[in-house]
Amino acid sequence: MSILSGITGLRGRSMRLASLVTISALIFSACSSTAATPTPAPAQPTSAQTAAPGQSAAATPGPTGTLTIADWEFSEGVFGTNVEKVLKAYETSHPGTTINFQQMSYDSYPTTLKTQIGAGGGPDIMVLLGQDFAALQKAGDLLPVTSLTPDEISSLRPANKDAVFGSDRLGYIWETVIYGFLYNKSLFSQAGITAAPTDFASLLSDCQLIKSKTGKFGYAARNMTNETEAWYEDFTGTWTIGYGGAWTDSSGKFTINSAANIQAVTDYATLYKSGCYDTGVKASVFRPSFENGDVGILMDNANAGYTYTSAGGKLTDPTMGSGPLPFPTKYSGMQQLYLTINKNSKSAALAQSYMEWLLEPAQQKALVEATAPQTTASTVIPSDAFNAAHPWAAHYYSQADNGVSLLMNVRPALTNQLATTLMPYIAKVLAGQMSATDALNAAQQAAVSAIGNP
Amino acid sequence: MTPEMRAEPATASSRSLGGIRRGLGTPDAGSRGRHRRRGSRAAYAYVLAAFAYLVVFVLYPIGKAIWISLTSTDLLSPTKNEYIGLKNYQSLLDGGILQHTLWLTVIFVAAVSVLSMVVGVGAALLVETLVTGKATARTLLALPWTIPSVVIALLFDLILDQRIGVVNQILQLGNLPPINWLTDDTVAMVSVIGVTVWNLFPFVMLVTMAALATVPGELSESASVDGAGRWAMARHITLPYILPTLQIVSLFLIIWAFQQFQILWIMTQGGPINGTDVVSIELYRTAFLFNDLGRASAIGVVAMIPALLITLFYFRVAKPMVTR
Repeated sequence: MSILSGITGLRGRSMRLASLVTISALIFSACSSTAATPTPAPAQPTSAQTAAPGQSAAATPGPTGTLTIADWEFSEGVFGTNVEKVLKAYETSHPGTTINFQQMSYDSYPTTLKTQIGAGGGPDIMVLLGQDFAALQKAGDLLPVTSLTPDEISSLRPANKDAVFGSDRLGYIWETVIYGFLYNKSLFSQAGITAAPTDFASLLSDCQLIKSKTGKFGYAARNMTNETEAWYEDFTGTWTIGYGGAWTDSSGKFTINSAANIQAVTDYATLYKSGCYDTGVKASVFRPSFENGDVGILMDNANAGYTYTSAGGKLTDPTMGSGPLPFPTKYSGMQQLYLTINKNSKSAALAQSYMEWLLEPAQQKALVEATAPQTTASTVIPSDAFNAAHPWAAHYYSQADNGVSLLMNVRPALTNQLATTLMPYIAKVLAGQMSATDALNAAQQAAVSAIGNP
Repeated sequence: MTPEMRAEPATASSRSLGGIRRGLGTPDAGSRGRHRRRGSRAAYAYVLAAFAYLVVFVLYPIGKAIWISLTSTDLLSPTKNEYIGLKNYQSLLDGGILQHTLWLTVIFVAAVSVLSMVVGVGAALLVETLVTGKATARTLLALPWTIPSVVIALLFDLILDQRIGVVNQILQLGNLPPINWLTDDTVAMVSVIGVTVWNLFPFVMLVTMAALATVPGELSESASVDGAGRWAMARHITLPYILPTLQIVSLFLIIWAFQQFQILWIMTQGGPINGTDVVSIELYRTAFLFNDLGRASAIGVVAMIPALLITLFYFRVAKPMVTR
């Protein structure tokens, strides 16, 4: 009350002006709140998977000092602890160095990092999502990695080519998140389905059979616009790329209303409206449902698959099957996470040395064991014991070279704009407000108008 | 010796003389004058501090935001900006997004302000009529105001979930069809308005209750003795007392509704189908997802205009009317 009466009692033009200005500033501050972008939590490998590399290595001369590494995964339980152990081993083989970790939640990670870097600070080395990597590359905020040996470069998976701009390699793959087909063998069996679907017709039929025979949902996927970026990634990584579509051509021009894209959206909407799709729910709801045996089919990444079978739910390694997407092409989408050096790093020489060290076979082996079943920069795969315990993971390793980037061609930094422009139109198709053809034609126009063609 | 050097002793002596002369009449007048001068120096210092605060924390950021809105500035390289005139504003108008966003903002702000006011004042009047349990009712009704909006958003995100949400489960128990609270573009706006009102109405209630406490009891008694009905008493006694408070509360509500971000971002991110895409969402998305600080600042400047107009209206038109 005292504040109110103080304001109502203001006298004089200057005081009124002052209060006006203050109130205007309040309006301006409306954008200073926190972000929330829900995304899948990576898998939580057991500590038994972790091996500490570099323990027996002889001390190597080189730059010394302190290095700060940022990755949201550091704050994610056992997974983070295991990764930290691998990364920290550098201190043992390189006396005089200290490795620090900058922990942030996934939700605040991109915004915090971008703000820090924009202000001239930030960590020395950081893990970046593909679209953030593209944005920082465009802004010139990443240092070229010049320390890799020819052997290390030749050991890299093809997905690393997207980190090369002209003659500069601006980092390498930290993790590739590849989409695959996951299904509950037990529900398939109850529904009388003997094999995983191979095309859309059998996918639709299997989905409906599961619903009718077991009462469980046949299929679930993101379909909510409050998860726009993640929904864009999931949809593009499965339906669009699986149908051989793309949102841009090789010159970067929009191809949103291509025949393949229209067919993908049409079939997706058919499945959505078929009654067997668990519609209107977020990933935080349908993922536990799959884990608990209440959903028959997901198209998801390997880390999520690991989580489903490791959480003690009804789904176990033997009951979860995997395979290629039941779509016309062999390709599936791939979210690339990069390890990069910040241009603002005060320890650039040490960072270069570190990047080289982490690509050595011993470190890659340790990293793969610590983070399995994710695929890393090199072609190293986990031990036979891991693969035997998680037979479904094999598909993801074989699919790694069929991964297609989810980002726009030529102008990857604009992918978030594309997602924000495009997904509401796909939502209109799901809501029955537009046909797939009309929606994608309108989305094409909207994208050209809002973002423009190169 | 320069004139400046000569002037000082002369002034000093005249001051002393004045002090002696004044001192002849009243012995404490000299010290009162010193006190007055010291007091006025202190007043200037206080005003200067307030002015410095305004310049550093208010005027400079606003000026900077206006400047950035006239440049192409990337969040990731803010120093490498280029002056582009009104292009950011032009692009906002060309895309048609701003008109859509502003319209949704007007709907959201109007609905939240009016409903918060109605529910808040209603709750205050209801609690005032209670004979017992007034303090408990007041405390319980004030609870939503004490919960951080992030928590409220997460809570209602679950409560309104299409499949596992408790609201739809209750509807289904009554054989009613579930409602797409957050997945239908029209219903989603109603949902976020409702949740925001739930968060804000306790403030209105508490302030109204405090204002009601200032209404003199004897006035109501006299009016009652004179035969005034409940409506007449409310109109001629209660309302004039609480109206100035309600007007400033309404100003606060409008500004807070303009600023709402967390609830909308967490529950809908401006969706579905851009159905809840208000200015704060568009601004955040442009700045931190698209990294386009120039355009985001232009959105902020445009959004500031209606807020300024409303504030001006209050100080120029509404408040003088109430004061009269």
